[in-house]
Amino acid sequence: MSIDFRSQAIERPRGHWYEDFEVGTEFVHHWGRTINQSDNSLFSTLTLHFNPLYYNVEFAREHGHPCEQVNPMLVFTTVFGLSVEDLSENGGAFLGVEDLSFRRPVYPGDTVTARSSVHARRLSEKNPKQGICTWHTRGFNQRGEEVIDFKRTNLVSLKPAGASA
Amino acid sequence: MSMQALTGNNNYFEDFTEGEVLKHRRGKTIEPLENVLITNMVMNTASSHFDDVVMKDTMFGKRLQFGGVTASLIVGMASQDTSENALAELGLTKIRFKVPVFHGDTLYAYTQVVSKEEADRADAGVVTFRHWGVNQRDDVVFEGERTVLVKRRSHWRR
Repeated sequence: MSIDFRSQAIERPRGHWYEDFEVGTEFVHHWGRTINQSDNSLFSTLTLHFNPLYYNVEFAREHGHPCEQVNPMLVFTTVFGLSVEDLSENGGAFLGVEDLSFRRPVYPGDTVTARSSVHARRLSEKNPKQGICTWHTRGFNQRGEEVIDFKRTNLVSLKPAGASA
Repeated sequence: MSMQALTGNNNYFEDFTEGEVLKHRRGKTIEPLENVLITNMVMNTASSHFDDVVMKDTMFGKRLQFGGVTASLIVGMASQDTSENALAELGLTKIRFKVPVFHGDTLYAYTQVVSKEEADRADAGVVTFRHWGVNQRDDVVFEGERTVLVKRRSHWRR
């Protein structure tokens, strides 16, 4: 017996819309990520990031670290990545970042989680189907210590008629 | 292993002059290797970076590079000149993405030394840089400021 899976399929709702981003609303983002040694050295070398603190364990130890440090740009992109489904997957262009602070080192084996709150929003003057949101996103290690925070601004879509979430 | 022999001797705190502009040696042509791999590795779930078919009917017509990858590449290309002798990355601000980046584009990086300040430790200083990323048509695709804690030669080089 064959099933007409295409016509029967439903899609689980994902993400949020402009209407969901009232200022102050908090999001605890999904998944978390343990950053591995290989993630870190591959990221650093692919992006031509040449500070041995991120890929030479002896050099890092000589500078007071227990092992090589995770490249701060990998900490940023990981915390950002974890926030995308909640904040910007239904959105438009990523416009910018303000006030990013790297607050403490992250080491391979550390597990990073992310949370955000809505910092500001306004409707777009150019496109009636879009708004502009700024979120304050924070990343934490497995001990709950804040490792990074930043404010990110994106175009986001207004909820289309008939959207289920 | 002599640690000081592993990094250059022209990028300590003393070597930066406020206002000077640097063109960094190496550009890089963007492949899915950078964009898709890093986008997926950091679990950015936006399909616009890794599903060509969903992008066919958009104004872009093809996958866009994740801005976080563009920022990481521009900072990376600037790193040998600006932070090979850094003790820590302190922060970023005024990051702007001006023009979309696609697979096949080639990016280059430029940097201006905005300011030099004392740090709360004697062996290093704080340098603020302004970075620009440009593509092969010389369009500015990325701009941003970055603050780095850089070693002083006086304390770290014998």
